[in-house]
Amino acid sequence: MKESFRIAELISKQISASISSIEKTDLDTWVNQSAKNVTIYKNALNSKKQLLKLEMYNGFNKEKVWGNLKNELFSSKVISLFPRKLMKYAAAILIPLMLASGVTYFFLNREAETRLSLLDEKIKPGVQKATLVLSNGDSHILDKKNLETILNEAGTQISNTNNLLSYMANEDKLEGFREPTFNKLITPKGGGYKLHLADGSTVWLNADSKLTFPIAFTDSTRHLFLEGEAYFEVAHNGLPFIVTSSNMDIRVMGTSFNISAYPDDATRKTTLVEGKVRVDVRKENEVFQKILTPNKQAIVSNNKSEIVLADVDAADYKSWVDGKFEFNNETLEQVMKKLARWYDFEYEFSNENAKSFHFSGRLDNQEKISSVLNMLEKTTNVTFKLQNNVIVIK
Amino acid sequence: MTENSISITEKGFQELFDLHFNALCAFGSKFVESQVIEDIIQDVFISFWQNRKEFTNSNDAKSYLYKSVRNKCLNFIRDEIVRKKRLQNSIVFTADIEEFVIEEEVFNQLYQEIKNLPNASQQVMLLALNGLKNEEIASELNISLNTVKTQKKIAYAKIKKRLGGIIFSILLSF
Repeated sequence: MKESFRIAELISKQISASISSIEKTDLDTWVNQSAKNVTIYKNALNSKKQLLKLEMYNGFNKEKVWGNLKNELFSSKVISLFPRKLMKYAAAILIPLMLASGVTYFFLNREAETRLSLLDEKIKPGVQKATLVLSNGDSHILDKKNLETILNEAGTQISNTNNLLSYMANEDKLEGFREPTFNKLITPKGGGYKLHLADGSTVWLNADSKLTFPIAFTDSTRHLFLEGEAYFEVAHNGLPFIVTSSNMDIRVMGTSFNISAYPDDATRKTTLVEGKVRVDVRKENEVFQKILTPNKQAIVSNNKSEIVLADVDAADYKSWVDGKFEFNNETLEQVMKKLARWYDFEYEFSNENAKSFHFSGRLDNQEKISSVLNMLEKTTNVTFKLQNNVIVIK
Repeated sequence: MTENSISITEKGFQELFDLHFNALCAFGSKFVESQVIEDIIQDVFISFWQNRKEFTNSNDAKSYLYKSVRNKCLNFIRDEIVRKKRLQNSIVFTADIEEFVIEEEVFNQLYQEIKNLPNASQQVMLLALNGLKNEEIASELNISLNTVKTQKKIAYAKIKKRLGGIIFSILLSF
């Protein structure tokens, strides 16, 4: 929070042109950290938005509220611990207030806190880890411990440093087009990894996913196979880049896009950030095609072959790459699925109605599971309880 | 607000309220409708006063205020659902309020500079503080160039009056 206050201070100085050069450097560093920061910065400088805010700020009745506060807190009559205004909230809130006796007002539900904090011992947020399977079937576990492991497979140098797996082809060994050699990167639940391909493209693989890819690009196309979720930044090199997920192919020349194609999801979504992409869905002898432009999303349902296009804010669908969860009006059922992939836990709904609560929001993916579930409990009347290593949702 | 006192005084509390009331209301409006928000902010400040011993600097105080607004808003939403048994179409929940905090804090600084001006000058001065030239302000607000200049004159006159008062009192004390 302190950092946010400082950033706000810097942006204000920027607006009033009283920012020093050191402060400007700090501000630029923060802005360049993520697309979200760019958005926050631009919004803060947008005079149209400011005019709207001005109207909003002026609409609030400060004098009335101060009058009430003065009466409640500073008048000479006896000050009650539970001012009248609070009474109109449900009794459920009053009870924790009495127990907490003013020490930590924000953790309003002590019982939930204790029950949920037990979960943090067993259920942790994900980390960068994956397994690499070479063309001969050998597998290597990639995590913090394996620093700078260098392998050499069929003329390509593979290195793993700081959670980045890189492939570098030895130029002189590549002659003409040949059958590509494939490697496979597999992330478990609670894992994720980043990969540099031999053509300069970068892939971020999310939890519980599998990516099969050529170690060098010797064929006339660059062809990869995905199950799960990945974000791609494809380098232009003149060869088409194709990602196949079951019967769906996504073709690009050079661009940035996200594919979410988990086998246990009802739909597969391809979201374009930049560039141009073609989505093909193959069914028997037919192929259905749609072209995506930036901020368009192609949605393919499992039981249909049609491709539905939607307008989205593409940044929302790649925020996982920056370590955030983003929920866009999703059901609790969908939210739990996403959380379970990252935190690696089993869950079960004992109340079917709870599945259909809708949520929108953003969370940091390193939040403790107890905080996340606490937030969900606060805004609905579901409860989460750990029973036999399964989270039961009532 | 003095930072070396053990906890905030009545006067400091009033200043804190004065400087942050509108920003906190705007922040809370992202979670609940505006009719309810003033009551929630009132409760937040009551809670703050009752816990004032915990806060020894303005960052801690502001931090508490923003988080407290969010939590009380979320509780309100939950109780609405329990009481009225209606499911919201979409519940906005977020542990990540930092971006909203930045947004309000930045605007609040601008607002503090112009809030004492009459409404018409406020808009003109807001845009002027953003570095817009008179022609740009005129086109943005759909008013004439003359009106812009007049409003600016009114604004500066008000500011000068305040400054004049300060200079006057300094003169008096020596």
